[in-house]
Amino acid sequence: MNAPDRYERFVVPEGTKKVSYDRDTKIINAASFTIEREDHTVGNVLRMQLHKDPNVLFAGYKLPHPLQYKILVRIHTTSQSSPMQAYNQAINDLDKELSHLKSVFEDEVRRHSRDF
Amino acid sequence: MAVPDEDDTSKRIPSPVSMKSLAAPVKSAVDKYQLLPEFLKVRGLVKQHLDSFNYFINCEIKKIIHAKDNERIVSDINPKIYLKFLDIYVESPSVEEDHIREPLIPQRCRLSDTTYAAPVKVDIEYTRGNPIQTEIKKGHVIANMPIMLRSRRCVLYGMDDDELARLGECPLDPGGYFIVKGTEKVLMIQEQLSKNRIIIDTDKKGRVSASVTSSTHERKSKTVIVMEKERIYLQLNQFTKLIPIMVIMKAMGMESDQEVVQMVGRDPRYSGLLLPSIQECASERIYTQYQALEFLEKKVVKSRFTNQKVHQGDFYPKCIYVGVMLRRMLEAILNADTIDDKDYVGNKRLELSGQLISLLFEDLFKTMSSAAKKSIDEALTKASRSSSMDISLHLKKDWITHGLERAISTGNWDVKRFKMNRKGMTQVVSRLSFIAALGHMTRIQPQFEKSRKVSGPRALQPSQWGMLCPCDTPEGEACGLVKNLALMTHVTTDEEESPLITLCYSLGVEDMSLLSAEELHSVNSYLVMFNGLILGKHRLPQRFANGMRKLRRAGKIGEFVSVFVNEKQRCVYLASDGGRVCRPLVIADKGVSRIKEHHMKELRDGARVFDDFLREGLIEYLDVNEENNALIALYEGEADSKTTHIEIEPFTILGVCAGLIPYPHHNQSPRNTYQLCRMDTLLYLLVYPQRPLLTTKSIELVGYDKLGAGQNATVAVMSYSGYDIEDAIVMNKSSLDRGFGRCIVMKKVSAVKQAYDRIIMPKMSSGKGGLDSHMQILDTDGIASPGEIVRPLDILINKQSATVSRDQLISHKVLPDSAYKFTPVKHKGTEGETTVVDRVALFTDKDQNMVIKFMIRHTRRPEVGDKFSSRHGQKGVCGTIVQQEDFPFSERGICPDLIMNPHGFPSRMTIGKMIELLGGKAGVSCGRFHYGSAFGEPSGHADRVEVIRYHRVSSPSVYIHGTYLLPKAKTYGLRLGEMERDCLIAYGASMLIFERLMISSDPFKAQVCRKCGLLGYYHHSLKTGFCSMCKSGENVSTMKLPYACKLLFQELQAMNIVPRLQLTEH
Amino acid sequence: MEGISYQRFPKVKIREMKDDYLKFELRETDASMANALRRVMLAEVPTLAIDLVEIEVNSTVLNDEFIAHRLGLIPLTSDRAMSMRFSRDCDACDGDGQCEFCSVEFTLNVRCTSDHTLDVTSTDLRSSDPTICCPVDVAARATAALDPNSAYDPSEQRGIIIVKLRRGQELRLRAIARKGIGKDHAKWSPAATVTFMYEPDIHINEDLMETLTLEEKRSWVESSPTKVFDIDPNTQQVVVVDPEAYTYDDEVIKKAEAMGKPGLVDINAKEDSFIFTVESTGAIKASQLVINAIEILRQKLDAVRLSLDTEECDEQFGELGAHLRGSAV
Repeated sequence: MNAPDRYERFVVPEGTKKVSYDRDTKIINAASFTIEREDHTVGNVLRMQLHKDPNVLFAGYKLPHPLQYKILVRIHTTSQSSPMQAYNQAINDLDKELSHLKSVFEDEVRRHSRDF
Repeated sequence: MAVPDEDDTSKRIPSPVSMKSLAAPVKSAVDKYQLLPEFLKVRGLVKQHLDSFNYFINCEIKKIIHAKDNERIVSDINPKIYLKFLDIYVESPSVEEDHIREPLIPQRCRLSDTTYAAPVKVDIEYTRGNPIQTEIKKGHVIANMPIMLRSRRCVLYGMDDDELARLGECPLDPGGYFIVKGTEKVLMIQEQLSKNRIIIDTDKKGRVSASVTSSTHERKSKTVIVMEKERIYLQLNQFTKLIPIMVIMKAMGMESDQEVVQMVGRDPRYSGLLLPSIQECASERIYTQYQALEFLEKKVVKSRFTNQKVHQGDFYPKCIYVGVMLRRMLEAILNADTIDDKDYVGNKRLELSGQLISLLFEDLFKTMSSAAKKSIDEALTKASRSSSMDISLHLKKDWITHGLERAISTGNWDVKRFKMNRKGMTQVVSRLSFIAALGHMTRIQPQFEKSRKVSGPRALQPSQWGMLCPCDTPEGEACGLVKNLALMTHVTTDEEESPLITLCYSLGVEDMSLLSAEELHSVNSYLVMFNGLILGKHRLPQRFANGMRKLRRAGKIGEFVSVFVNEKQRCVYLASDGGRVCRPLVIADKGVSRIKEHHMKELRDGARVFDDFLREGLIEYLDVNEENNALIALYEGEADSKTTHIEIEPFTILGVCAGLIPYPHHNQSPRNTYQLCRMDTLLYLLVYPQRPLLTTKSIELVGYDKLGAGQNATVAVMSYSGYDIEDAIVMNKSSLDRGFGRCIVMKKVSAVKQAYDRIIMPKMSSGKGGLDSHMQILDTDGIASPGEIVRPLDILINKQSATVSRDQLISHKVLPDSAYKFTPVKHKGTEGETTVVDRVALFTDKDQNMVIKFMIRHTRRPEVGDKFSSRHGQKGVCGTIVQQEDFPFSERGICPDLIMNPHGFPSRMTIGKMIELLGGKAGVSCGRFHYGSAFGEPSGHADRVEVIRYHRVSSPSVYIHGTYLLPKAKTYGLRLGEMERDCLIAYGASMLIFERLMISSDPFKAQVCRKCGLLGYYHHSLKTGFCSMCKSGENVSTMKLPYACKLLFQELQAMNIVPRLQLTEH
Repeated sequence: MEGISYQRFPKVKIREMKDDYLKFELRETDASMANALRRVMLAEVPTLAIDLVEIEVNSTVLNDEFIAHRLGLIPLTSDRAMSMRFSRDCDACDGDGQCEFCSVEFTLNVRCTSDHTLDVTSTDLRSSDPTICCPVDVAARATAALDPNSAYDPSEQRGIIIVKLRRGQELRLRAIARKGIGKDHAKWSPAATVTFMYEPDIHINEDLMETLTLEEKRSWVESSPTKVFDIDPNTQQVVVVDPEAYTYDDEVIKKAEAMGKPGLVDINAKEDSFIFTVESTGAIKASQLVINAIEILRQKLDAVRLSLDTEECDEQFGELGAHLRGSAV
């Protein structure tokens, strides 16, 4: 009856930012990113990619509540980097990996359909 | 066929036993399952109701009008004026409209809130006119009687599926209920103590008493003989006080004390007990019949008791009856074992709708007659009679019609004539699911009040086996009192007595009136009782019983006549009365089943029906008493030479509802019971009902597979997300999207258009163009049309009521608009639900007003908080709904529909559910339906586990667990239960938990071995703890733990599970 | 702000490919990537599905909502879905889903006039533009008609049943298909099955295995519920016949322990190799589904990039921020 509408799950409400940044006030080089209307799909790839970065001391994400359609990504880096830098880096790397994957996959599909 | 067979066997008996056993055919278990569907085909699931009602309509009702007091209505003023009932018959249901009678169909009654009733017609002979002439009038309607659906008089009787469907009836609906004022009412089966039987019991004060409730068409009375202060008294309603028994005997002409003693038996112990009573009588100076009657005169009217018939004031049979009662009672005083068990099913009678209606009808009929008489007398006293007198016009049919209708619709059976005042006799048929409705029809209501805290009637009676379902009983106050019939139970109806009595005499029963008191209890013969009546004696009781049974098997006497030889009481009981429960069993001769494979083959080929089995003496009905004379083998293979009968199918001990649970014998028994109560929680109209993958044979018999009320789900048993605690389930959103668990909820809205109302077309409002937003669904006739989506507060009927007075309504044909006030019918719904008008029905009610009925439908998909249940009493609410991508998946890509928490299993012990899961998966994998019937598979280890579990239940833990008390009141205290404990844990009040569950509950000092972690004991001679595992006292520490906890460890050890405690310094 | 890249270069090998079925290996990436792809395929690759139904006549046994729900679940060909607009952000039609950019209209008009029960199926749905969107079985029939070699047998295909009609019953409706994603409603999910498994790495301890008798070997091999191992009839040695049949059920390991031979076999999941199985509903080709999923995931990641103003906002901390970050700038 009072269930949220289905589109609430993936439509960013007007006036809210997709990603908001929250610097930690106590720890330097630590910050959390609130990403609206995303879930484990983005959260987990991002976290795993961040783990690859040696400058990242901590990277984690959580889904605060099943009815709050947002994730919190928390990053803590060394002084060599910054959370924002690491975040951008991770996204860039993932983007490149995906475009690579896409081309590899398309090649394979082409090769496969030619062979068979 | 059967009789020669019988002879063959009897001829073979003399042959040497060894030879016979060699010649006996190899025992092969014949699959008798096929008999069940056949049985149900002829009997149906609610046959007991139908039989009983049919019996009433065909026989009982005739008996009522032909009873001496009822047959004639004679005027007191002019005895020549009379009315005599010649015949009575019930027609098919019909309704009279504008003086035209037309047949009535049930569906119409349901829709138009009328009663499905048929006219009851009588043929009467009466006097009329002046001078008086007798006339005969046929077909005079005296009442409209509600008719049971599918009974002999119902229009649906004997119809096939197509015809039923055409009348708007579900072919699977069993019938057996009434439709009164549009609601379906079922008359609950009433459980009572037997009538006309001697019951020996102890009363509240611990006195032994013998009581007989006698009931005939003329009167009903209760006679009790009690022992008080060593003297024996008789208690009867007609007398204000207790009457000494000897006075009664003398009053009935038994003046000699010796005769009385002889009648009771010459055993000195009995006469010793009688002595004080004899003395008392003597001290009252009562020696003759006349003195005794004088004594009674003071107390009240003439004595008349027990159901023994009196011919011309011959009280001898009654004396004998009292003698037998006395003897049974004295026997019980000497030997407490002979006290009757009131809860024994054989001492119970079930009152069905026919009997109940007949009671009511009789009462109303008498009321009607006396009212008619009164009005005749009144008419006769009037000086001037212009028209000639017609008595038949004084029979008002409304008496019976309204009386019956009122009783059935309110459930109050108020029969003053029989001092009957019962409430809640009828219930609305629960239509939540097919099974709920069926289960409702087999339910048995007790006569006792439910609040009594007695365990006796609630306990499972061994005699219930096969007759009443052992599982199906509600929880709470009615637990064990409300029962259900088992699958094959039949409830008997009355049978004609006189031919049977004659038969008994011709089979060698010596008439009681020819016997002297001395002979009554002679050692070499048995008393023969027929329906509680003492017929006489027989010297060869076993032979007599066998003879009767042979006749019954041959079909010469009714199949439900029961013959029971009671060796203890030295009696042969014959019964043909109604209300006994009985069930069919296969007859076996010396352990060899009479049903052979070729019989079953003929049955499968359709060359044979169930009744053929009965007629040929292969199967017979046994009632609870006669079962005591039989040795019944559960399976054919288990039969030995002493076996007399074989069960048809073991699972028939369960009722209709219990049969739906797969593998019930693997579950902890209360779980099965819970499930049965649960059937009706959340079932409306499932959008995609499915057949259970794992069926039981009962399901097929009942037709549940055709009317599914559930869905097969892919279930993962795992903990997931934390929204699944306390039995909550996690559901897959994609499954819900695809229609899993979707159901349609139907709601009825009805409104009456009174004479001064009008329904008008919505007017276009001049303002903001178009209609009022709440009027958009209205059709041109001012009524919402089907298929429209309704939102809350939308107007369904645009109705207006006149505000002016009645006079003006009559004078003005058309009223101005101003005289009307807007009284619309609005839809009350909740926001967010999309409801649709499904159907609109218009009809006129009995006051000729227009009634408008809406069916409003709402499709709802499961939401968080909805309750779901499996077939094992494992209910749970939906804790959260999760996207499919967040759900677990297997490497084969299978994604479950819902996730259940595994913590639901250990404490519930529903092994059957696990087996169902396995069986269901096997069914999916090989694409076949599987059976999960009770006792369907050979028993394996599961049964052995069960034995251990019973030990646990009987252990003292039961008492100890209850001792966690809240400090609220010191005297009684409230239990700190599991849920309260959960709250404390969640809150984190650990010290409070510690205090409640340990210190103020059951602290226990335990010796724990630090090395092996097991419990030791305190060795008194060594003055130290000792570990019997390590055989040393070195590493033993003393610690406190709740006794219940220690007990749990020990019980676990008894089950081969080792709980080890690891101790650390703190 | 240029850092070193930690990019991976995953490898793909297709094992089996049909229109609606795809089995491939994905290597040299981690589970998060594999899982993200799976999740996107299930829930976020857009397709078309009937979303709005206007019923004109319905005298069937099923009620309106029921039929609407069934219509919604019919898979429609959605090759163009990626380039179409969501009706909620369609400018051309004000978001009411009635324009060519975001919707396709269907009509259904069936009436039973014979005494036989008439099945109303997806083939009765008339699309306003069959080239863009039509029920998948209709599309399959159309392509089969063009290709004489196809194995498609139209007699076996009866279409997806919507409702059955008896004489005199009629169903007339108008339906609008829109673009959507599985997260919204499962009817928009293009995937019937998307699953992956870690490639198992099975090592049999040959020395220990040789200590077993043939009988023991046989019972050990049979302890696995799936056929992973077999005994070579010639050498009588235990061999791995199908490692991928292994379901990580640990039965063989438990059996080995029960036989008193722990360590008989060593099974590990390869953390960076996945075997994917993708089955499509027919709305999109399975291979296209994977490609779309990769594309969607890229778009998603692109969307979560920090917008400029966020970065600026961080810069407002100015020197303090720069100071704290040290000399990395």
